[in-house]
Amino acid sequence: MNPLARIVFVIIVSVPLLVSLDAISAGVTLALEIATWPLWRGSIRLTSRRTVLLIAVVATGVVTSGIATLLYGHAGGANLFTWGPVRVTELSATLAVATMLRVAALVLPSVLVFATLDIAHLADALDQVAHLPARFVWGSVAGLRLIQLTSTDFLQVRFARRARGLPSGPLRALMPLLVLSLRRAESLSMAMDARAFDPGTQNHTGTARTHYRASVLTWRDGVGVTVAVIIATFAVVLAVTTGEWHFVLS
Amino acid sequence: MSNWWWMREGASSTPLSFVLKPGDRVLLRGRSGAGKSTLLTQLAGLDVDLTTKGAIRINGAEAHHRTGIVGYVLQDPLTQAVMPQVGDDVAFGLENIGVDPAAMPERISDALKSVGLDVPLDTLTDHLSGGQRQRLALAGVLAMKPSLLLLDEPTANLDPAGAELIRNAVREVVRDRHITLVVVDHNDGFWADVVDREIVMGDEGRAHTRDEQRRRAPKKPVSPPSPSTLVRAMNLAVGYPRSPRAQENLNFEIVAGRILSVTGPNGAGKSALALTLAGLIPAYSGELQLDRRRVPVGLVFQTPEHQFIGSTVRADVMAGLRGPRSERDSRAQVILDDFHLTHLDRQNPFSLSGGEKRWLSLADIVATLPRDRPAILVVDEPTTGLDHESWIGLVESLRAIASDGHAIVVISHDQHLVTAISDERLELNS
Repeated sequence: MNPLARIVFVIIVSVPLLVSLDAISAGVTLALEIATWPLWRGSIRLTSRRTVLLIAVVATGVVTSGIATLLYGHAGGANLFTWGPVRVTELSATLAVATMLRVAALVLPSVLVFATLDIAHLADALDQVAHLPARFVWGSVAGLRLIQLTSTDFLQVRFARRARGLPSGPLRALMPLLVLSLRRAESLSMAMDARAFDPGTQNHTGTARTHYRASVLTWRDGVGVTVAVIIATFAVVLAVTTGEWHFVLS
Repeated sequence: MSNWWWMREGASSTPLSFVLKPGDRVLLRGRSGAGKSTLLTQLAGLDVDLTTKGAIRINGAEAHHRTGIVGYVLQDPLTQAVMPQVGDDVAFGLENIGVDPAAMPERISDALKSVGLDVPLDTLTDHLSGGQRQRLALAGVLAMKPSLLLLDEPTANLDPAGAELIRNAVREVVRDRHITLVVVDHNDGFWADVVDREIVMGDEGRAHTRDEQRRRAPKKPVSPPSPSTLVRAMNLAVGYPRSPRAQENLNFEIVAGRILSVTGPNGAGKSALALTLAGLIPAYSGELQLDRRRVPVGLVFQTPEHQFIGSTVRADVMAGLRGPRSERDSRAQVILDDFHLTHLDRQNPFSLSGGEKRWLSLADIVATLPRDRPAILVVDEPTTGLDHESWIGLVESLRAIASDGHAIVVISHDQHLVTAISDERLELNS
């Protein structure tokens, strides 16, 4: 799937989860999300390291939110356990289950999509599919490289201050770092200009900018987004018909 | 399209005129700050806002109209890569000039092959070594099939093997494709078989005369008691924290009044050794006998910008000095005079040319050396960006500092410097 379609997918399936507190819509969404895995397989590369990280992130979110709701959530129904401010009730237990399902259903696709997002591919999509200005898109991609450079600069600037016996706290290094970063940015933009980066105007060869990697929407993206809408609708409908729908603000 | 290049350049105070014909291969040389990089920038058609006089015409049109494809590799190798991955980075220029995507893979692999950069296309540009980065930058402009190739010190900071790779790639490609070449470099001998003539900018030789060279020697020799060993390293292993050790089993001595040169390929741990000597990173293992309270260590960094602190050249020299104000003032003045920086003393260090920055970074640290007892001066790639006269000046300065009783450790790829200056040598392997 196209990176943009993936992001749209995540946003659509998240809507019911953000407005309702029930277990039904969350459980349905989670189950259907997992069922759509074949759609993703082609476009997401999961290394074993990434898989472990993914599971760790989702599990941490699920467990901590679940425990918090269980112990401190809205009280209601029979008391199951009390200890100081901690009060586990039937309602808080129900809410805890709903929360855990919701967090899992929210975090799983977001982490999956954003952790595996390739910056260059996203930029391709923003440029060619979303038609954002090329100057903005590619300038941002190039600018991201400055983060790496800046961390190296930061280390070296502090070393240099210490070497001259001057205070070398992180704040002291900020000003020279700012100057260095601006110069790097200038040099980076000059490097881009030197390679004829001049979108907006037609270049001297009289042709428009071309794209090394085509970023297009295919039937898969259509299917993906449709599936996302179906998941979201189905989750809401099922929750409402079973009477479990619990609007956040009510 | 009339096939000639003509230009006149007034930015460097001395007007300069020359004509470049297609296929000409020119080495551009000149004093630090003479305006070499400025000239290249203008030839590339960038930076039209600069206050310059005269005109640069390419194919009969003003340079900034960019009538032909100009391949320009700038001085800072770190910011030459624009994209996160190698393949995308080479493609970037092709996209900009509107090359058909179907033709791109071949042009990308051809360009990478011509510079001998044999890495997968999805290699992250941040993971490339200094030499690989330079070759990538070159491939990025070669893929665009430029008719004019502009290179600004393309082999700075590269080990001799890496520098030769770059030069040979340039030689092949300009010959095969009949490219007009302008390369800025101070090492004229190195490019002798690539270029067919030289253009010298500014009045080289005016700034540093023999008489002035001699003045660089500090006035009062500190005369150490006898050749004394200041540092003894046994089975020393060095490397950056949280990364694999770069070098192990180092055994050497640093002796007062002597110059030790450290050579070795990029990534062999030379800079890590410098930081270890200065006490900025801990030694991995082994023993380093050095009492920094008794024997101070001054380190001149490889990237001068990293050590600039003051907002003016004078303030920068004074930043590392201790003691009463009047004493610091006079010390700073002596150093500024010795290093020929007095005429620049109110300038911002960042606004200096590459060579002037290097010179200031050395002055900064020499100013902090004690005058009554031996110290250690570690200089990391001190000749990068230095013109011929400054190069000689540097050699004489370092000799003078050593003869005052200080020990000097020179880390360098510059074979001429190592030959000219070393009393002892330490060679690191990769």
